Amino acid sequence: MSEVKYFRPRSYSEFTDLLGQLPTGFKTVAGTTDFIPAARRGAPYPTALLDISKLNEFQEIKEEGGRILIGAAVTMADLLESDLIIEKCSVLASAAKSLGSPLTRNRATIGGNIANASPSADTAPVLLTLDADVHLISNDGLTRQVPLTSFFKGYKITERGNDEIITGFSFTTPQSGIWSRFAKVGQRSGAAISVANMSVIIDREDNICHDIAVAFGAVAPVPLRAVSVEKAAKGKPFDNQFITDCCEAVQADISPISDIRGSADYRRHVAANILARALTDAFA
Amino acid sequence: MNKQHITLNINREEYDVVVTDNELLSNVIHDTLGLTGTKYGCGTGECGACTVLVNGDPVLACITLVTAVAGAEIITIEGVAPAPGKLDPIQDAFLEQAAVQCGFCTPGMILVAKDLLVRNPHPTEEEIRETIRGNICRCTGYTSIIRAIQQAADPTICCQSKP
Amino acid sequence: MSYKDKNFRIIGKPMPRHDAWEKVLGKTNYAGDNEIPGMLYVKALRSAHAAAKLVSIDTSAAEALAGVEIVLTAKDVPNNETVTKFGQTHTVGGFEGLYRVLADKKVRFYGEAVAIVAAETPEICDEALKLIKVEYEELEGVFDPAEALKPGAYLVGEDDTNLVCQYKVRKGNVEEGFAKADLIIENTYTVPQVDHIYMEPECGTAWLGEDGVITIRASTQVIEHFRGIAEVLGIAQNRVRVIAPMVGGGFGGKEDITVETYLALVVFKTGKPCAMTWTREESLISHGKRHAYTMEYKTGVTKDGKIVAQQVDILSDAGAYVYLSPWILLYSTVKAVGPYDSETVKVDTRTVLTNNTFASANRGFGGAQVCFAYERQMNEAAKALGMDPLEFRRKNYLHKGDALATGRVLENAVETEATGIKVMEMLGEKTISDKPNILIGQGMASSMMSYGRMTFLHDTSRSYVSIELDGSVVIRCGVQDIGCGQTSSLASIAAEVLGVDMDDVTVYFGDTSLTPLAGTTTATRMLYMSGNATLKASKAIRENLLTTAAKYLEVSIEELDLIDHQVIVESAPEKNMPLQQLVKICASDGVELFNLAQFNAPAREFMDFTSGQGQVFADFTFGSHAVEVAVNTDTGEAKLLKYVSCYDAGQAVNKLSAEGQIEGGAIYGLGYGMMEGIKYDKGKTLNPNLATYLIPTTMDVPEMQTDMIESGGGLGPFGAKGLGEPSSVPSAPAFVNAVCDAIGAPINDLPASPEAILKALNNK
Repeated sequence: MSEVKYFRPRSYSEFTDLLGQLPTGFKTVAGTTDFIPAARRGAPYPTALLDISKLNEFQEIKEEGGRILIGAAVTMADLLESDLIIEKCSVLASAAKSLGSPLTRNRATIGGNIANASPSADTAPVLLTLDADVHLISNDGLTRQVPLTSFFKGYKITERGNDEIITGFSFTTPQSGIWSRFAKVGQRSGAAISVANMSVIIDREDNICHDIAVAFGAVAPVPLRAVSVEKAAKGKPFDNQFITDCCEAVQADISPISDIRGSADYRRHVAANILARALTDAFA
Repeated sequence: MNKQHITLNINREEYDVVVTDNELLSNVIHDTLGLTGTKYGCGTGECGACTVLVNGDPVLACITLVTAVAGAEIITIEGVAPAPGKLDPIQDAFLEQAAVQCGFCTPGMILVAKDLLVRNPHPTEEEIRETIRGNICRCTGYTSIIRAIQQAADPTICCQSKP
Repeated sequence: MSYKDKNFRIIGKPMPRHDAWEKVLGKTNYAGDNEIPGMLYVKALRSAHAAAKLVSIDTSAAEALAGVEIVLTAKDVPNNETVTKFGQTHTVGGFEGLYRVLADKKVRFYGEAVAIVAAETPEICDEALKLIKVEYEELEGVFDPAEALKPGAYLVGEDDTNLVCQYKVRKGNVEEGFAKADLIIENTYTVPQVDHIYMEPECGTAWLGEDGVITIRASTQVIEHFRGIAEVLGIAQNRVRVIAPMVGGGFGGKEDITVETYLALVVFKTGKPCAMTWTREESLISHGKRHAYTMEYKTGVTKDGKIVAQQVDILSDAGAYVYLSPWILLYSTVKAVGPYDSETVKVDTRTVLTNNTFASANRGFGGAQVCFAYERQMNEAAKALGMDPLEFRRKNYLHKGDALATGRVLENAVETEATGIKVMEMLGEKTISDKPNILIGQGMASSMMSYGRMTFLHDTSRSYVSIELDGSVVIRCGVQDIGCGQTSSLASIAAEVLGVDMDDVTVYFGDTSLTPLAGTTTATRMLYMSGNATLKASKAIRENLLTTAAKYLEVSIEELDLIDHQVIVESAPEKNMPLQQLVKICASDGVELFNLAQFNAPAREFMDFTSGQGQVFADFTFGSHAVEVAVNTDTGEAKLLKYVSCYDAGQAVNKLSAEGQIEGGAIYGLGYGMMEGIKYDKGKTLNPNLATYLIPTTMDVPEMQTDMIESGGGLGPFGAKGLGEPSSVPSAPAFVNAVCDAIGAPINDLPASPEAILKALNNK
C-alpha cells in the first residue's frame, strides 16, 4: 500500500489552516462509502485524505433567507430524518432513503454522492430539479458557487478542480403545494445501484402544468435535467397527449448505454414509464 | 508507511494501537485486537457482516478508516452480552427463534437490531425489514431473524413453531 | 412412554441448537479467526486471461522482496495433477477428471491460480504478487458449450474433445408417445452460472502439528480431502490432518478443495504456519459455480391431461475443469422429468468443457436446473390444455409404488401431491390489484430431490458415542457443520436414546485425526448417514445399559426405559435408579459404555448407462412451493406478496432447524429465480463483487409460511428425510410461474429480472 496521510480537522479554522498545506493529489472524504470500495477495486491511492466528516459547519441543514443550505458532510441518515427536509423538500428525503442501506446511510454523505459523480447518484436528480448550487472552496481559500446544472461535465468529470472541495449545497426553498416524486429502478428491492432514477417537481393547478423540473440519472453519462420534457410540459394542460409528448421528449434527452445492470433499451422503456406514471399520479 | 498511535474505545475498554493512516477499522478490530466476532464477508460494505456500533450508530467497519473513529464509542458483538454466562434479550430471542444457522451474519444482525430497539422499541415488521436490509443472510431466508427481533421487542411472542 | 413409541422428549421438538449460543456471542472460532504466532500470509496470483499459454513465469523479483518467504508455481508442487478415471468411454457415462493445483503450461479460466506467495504480512504478499512476471500467449478459447462441441473447436483440456461425458434414459418409445399426444409443448429453458455467496469466503490456517503431521484448519465441507492433499504432497495419508471448525456457509461451494492444498504446500515447504483468506472477488471469480444449462423440453399430453411423452435434451457447461460435472449431470438426468409419471421418456444429457470458470457442486447438484425446466414446462403444458396448474400436476404426480423413468420403484413415502395441494391451499385466493400498473400472479412448483449420495458410491458414515462416568455424553464424529445443525442433530439423537438432555452432550466434530470419519457434508446426506450412525451407536450403548440394569434390578428388559437421567421401571417405579448410578455399575462390571458404529447406505451397482435404467439414489424428499407476486408493469419489478412451502420431512429431528432449512432454502433458490447470474465477457467475470452480483435482502422477500408433513417414511434416523437441497430447488420455478401468471407471457430463462419481465410483457 502506498504512503497516504490522513487529516481530520476538528474545527473550521483548523480546516482553513490545512487548506494551504495539502499535498497535490489529495482527496476529500467523509463517509468513505465510495472511496474504500473503489480503492479495493484498484483505484489509485491519493497522496492524502482530507476527512471533513467531523466539521460542524459541513453537517448543518438550515434555512436562511428563503434558501435551504445543506453541508457537504450531511449524511443520508441526517437528510431522511431532518424535519426541515421532510417538511420542505420531501423528495430529497425520499432519495436519501432509497440509497443503500441504513448502514451506509449512517456514513454516506451528500457531498460524496455528488463529488463521486456517478451517473446513477441518487441525490443528483433531486438536486438538479431543485436548481441547487454547489459551493466550492479551493485550497487557496477561494470560494465559488456553481449551478449543479453546469456541474456535471462528462462521465465522472465535474466542474470541481482537483484543488477544490465541495462544502455544501443550497437551493431556493420549494414552494408549498408543489408535487414531487423521486423514483428509483433497481435490480432488486434491497440496496442496488440505480438502473434508472428520476426526480420530478411539478407546480400544477387546475390541471395545468405551470412549471416542471424533471431530471434523470443512470440513463446518460451524467445526471441531467430532461429539458425537452420540461419544454413539452410547461404551461400545458394535462391530458393523454401531454403524457405522450413528454414520453417522446424524454428519449431526446437521455442516451443510455447497455451495461451489466441493464440494457439501453430497458432504460429507455422504464424512463418513459416512470415519467408517465409520475405525471399521471401528479394530476390524478 | 505513515503510522500513528490512537486510542480506541471498544466495548467500554480502551485499546492503544499503532495503525497506518489507511488502515481499515475491520482489520484492526479482527486482526490486531483479536475481537473476531466482527467478520470479513465482502470488504466493500455490501454484506453487513462487519457491522459495529459507532457512537450508537451501526456502521460498516470494512469501509471505515480506523483513524476516523478514534475517540468514538465502539461496540462490537463481544460487548453485547450483559455479563459472562448471560445473554442480551436480543441474543436470547435469536436462539429461541432459531435465527442462527451458520452464524456468520449473526453479529451484524444483532448489533443492528440492538440499535433499532433503542430508537424504536416497537418496530413494525416493515420497519424491521428496512432496518436490516443491509445485512445479508444466505442461510435463514430472514423470516426467523425478523421473528427474533419481534420477540426481543415483545417478549410475549413465543416460539412460533407449531408444537 | 419412550422414543420407541414416538413419544419424543427431544426429537421433533423446537430446540435451540447448541452451537447457536456461541454464535450469538460472536465467540465461534471460524477458520479465519485463528492467529498463529509467526504465521505467514498466503495469496494467489491469478490468471488475467481465460485461455492462454503460460509461456514463462519469473518469480525472482518477488522472491527477493524482503518479507517474502516463498513463491511457488506448478513446478514446485510434488504432484500438481491427479486424474480420476471413471467408466470406459465418454459415450457411456465414462469420464476423466483432472485436478490441477496450479496452472501449468496453459491457463483454462480467468482467475485460475498461477502462483502462490507466502509472506510476513498481507501487504508484502500484495507487493510480491505485482512483482511476479508472467508471460501469456492469449489463445482463442471457447465460451459456449454448443460451440465447444463443434468439430475444430478450441480444445480446453488435454483431451481431443471438449465432451466430458453424456448420459441417457429411455423408457418406451417417445415417437409412439408423441403420436398419441393431443398436444405437444416444446420449449427451451436456459439457466446461468450462479455462485453460492456463503457469507464466509474461503479461508483457513495450517501448521506443522505433532510429529510433523501437516495440519490444516479450513472452512470446508469435506475433511476427507486429506487424501487428495497427501497425494499432492507425495506423502502418506496419515501424515495429513484436516480440521473443519464451524463453517460460515457451504452450499456445495466448499465441497471441492479451495485453500487446503495451497496452505499445505507452504507448511510442507517452509515448516511455518500460514493463513489464507480469499477476497470476495477472488471467490466470485475463481471458485466452482452452479452449471449453466440449456434444456430443451418436448412434452406430449392427452387432452385430459396425461403426459404420454417427455423428451429432454440438456447441454451443460462444465467450465474449465471437470470436477463434479459428471455426477451433477447424472443427478439432472435421473430427475429431468420431475416427480411425474410419463408413459414414454427420452432423456439425453451432455456436459462440455469451456473456458468459463469451472462449474461444480451447488445446492441441488443438478436438481435445481431441471426443476426450473420441468416445473415451467408443467405450467406451459397446463396452460396449453386450459387446465389449472395444480389440477394438471395431480393427474401426473408419482405415488409410492410407482416407478421413475429409470425403472426405479419409489418404495418410501411419496407425498408430493399432498404438499402440492397444501401449498395452494395456504396461498389462498389471489389478491386483487388496486393499481393500474400492478398485476398479481400466483405460481407453484413441486419437486423431487434426492438425499443421500448415489448408491453406487457405497456410502458409509461412522460415529462414536460414549457415556462418561458422571452420565454426561460424548460424541466424536467427523461431520462438517455448515450451519444446518449437523452437530446439534447428533446431540439430539444421542440425548433422546440415552434419556439425557441435549445440554448433557458434547460433540467433537470435524477432525480427521480425532473423530471417526462420517463422510462429506454434501448431497443432503449428513442427517441420514451420521444421524443413523449416531443412532446405531447410541442404541448399542442403551442396550448395554438396560441389559445390565435388568440383571441388577431383576426385571425384564422390556420394562425398562431411560428418561430424564433415570432408569425407569414401568411396572415398579420404586426400583427407578439414577442413570449415573447405573453407569458406575456398568463401568465396574466392564460393560462397554461406548460404541463406534458404522452406518452403510444401501449399496447398489452402477445403473446401466446405455439405457439409463437402474437405481441411483436411496430416497427422495418431495415438496412444493407456492408464491404470489405483484408485478409492476412500468418497470418489470416483481414484489413477492406471499411465499408458502410444504415438505414431507419424514420426521423433523429438530423442528426449528427443519423449518429454518425450508425457509432458508427457499430464499436461496429465490435468488436464482429473481436476480442471480454470473456475467462473462469471453470468460472474464464481469460481476465479481456483491454490488454487481445481487442476492436477496430482507426487502426482496416476504414472510414465509412453512408446513411439514411428517410421514415417518424416510431412511434417516426415526424416519427422517433430508431437507438441505430439497428445500431450495422449487423456488425459482414457483417464482417464475407466478410472474408468468401475472403478465400472461412465458419467461424461460433465468434470472427473471425486472428487465426480463418487462421484455416478456412488451413482447406478448
